[in-house]
Amino acid sequence: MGQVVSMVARRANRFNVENRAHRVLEREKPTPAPKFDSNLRDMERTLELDPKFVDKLNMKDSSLDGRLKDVYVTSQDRFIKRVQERQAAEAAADNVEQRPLPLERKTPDDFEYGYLEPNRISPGHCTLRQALKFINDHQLDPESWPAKKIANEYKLKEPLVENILHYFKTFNMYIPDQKYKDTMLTQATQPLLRVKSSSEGNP
Amino acid sequence: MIARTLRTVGRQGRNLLLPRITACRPLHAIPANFSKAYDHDGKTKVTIFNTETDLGLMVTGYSQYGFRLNNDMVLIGPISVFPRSVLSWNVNSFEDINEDSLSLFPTLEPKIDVLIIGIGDQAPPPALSKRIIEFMKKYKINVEILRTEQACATFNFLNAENRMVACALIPPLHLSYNENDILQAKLRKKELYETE
Repeated sequence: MGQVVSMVARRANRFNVENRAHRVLEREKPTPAPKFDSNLRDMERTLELDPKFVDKLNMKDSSLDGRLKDVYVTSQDRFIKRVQERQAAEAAADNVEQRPLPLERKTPDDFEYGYLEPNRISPGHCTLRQALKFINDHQLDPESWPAKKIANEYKLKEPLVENILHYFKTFNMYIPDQKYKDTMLTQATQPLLRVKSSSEGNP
Repeated sequence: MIARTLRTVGRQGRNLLLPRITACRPLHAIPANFSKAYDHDGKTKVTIFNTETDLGLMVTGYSQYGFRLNNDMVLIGPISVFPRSVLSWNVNSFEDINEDSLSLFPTLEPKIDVLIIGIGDQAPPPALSKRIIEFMKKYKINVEILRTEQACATFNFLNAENRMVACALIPPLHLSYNENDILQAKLRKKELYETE
């Protein structure tokens, strides 16, 4: 029975609901919302203190309006100069950042010995360039470049230098005579494969 | 026996199909300078290491006396090769490889990436490998102990990859050859159709 009653009540409340809504909306000034009790108490207290408060709110206060009219803004040259300097700096920065292209276009050369040589060499070590140099010096002139001098010059240990000088030597260059062909050196020559360039292809 | 190194690289070669045409040039006068082969993206290319000298020194061939480099220099005796330079190595056989005869390689700075040792024509004995690796482990240098033929090929590959690689090579005492070598020898002497 409760369901039947609620259903009847809902249908009764919905009777002609659209027309009633339109009548409420067509009023010129809508009904204001109810106020809180605390707000009502505050309004009563204000009216007790100042009975003309409502009239004051609806009228312009000439003294306050005069104070607003006294305020104005001026501009100085120093500020404008600062703004111009900042804009110039930004423009310069943009100009620099918008040039990511390289300044040089030539290919960097390969390293002479196939690797990047260090600027600072720790004691007890040497670069390949230095090793080749002192091996060559010792081989050409053993009296001027003994192992002891090389060890002192390049901060190496003397037994290590002696081992290096004994086991590693530079080559002597020998160019075979064209008349007398040295078969041991030339008989192994064999033509190698060549990469055919694309311009030699058939049309 | 000649040790040759080939590498097949798939490269993205971008070529124009036709040359640039000027306004006053008739169409039938275009020089036909391209082949019928495929010449666009994904084309397979072959780079032969030993014919180029800009990749550094490479060992082209070896014999019982010494080695031939890719700049046509013939070096006699054991050698030690670096990416751009070469030294003679004063050892008689692989039995002379010890801490003294390898003393140059730990001394070099910057440190060598890989040290390759070619000991001749026989397989490296385990005792030799163990001794050399333990010695080089003190200096934290990677070592590869191989037969001379494999050592040459490995050095060529690593040098072409721009590594700081050093190689110590000893010529082999015995050379083995196959039918292709016999064919090449006969072609060289123009005795292909003669029988022995």
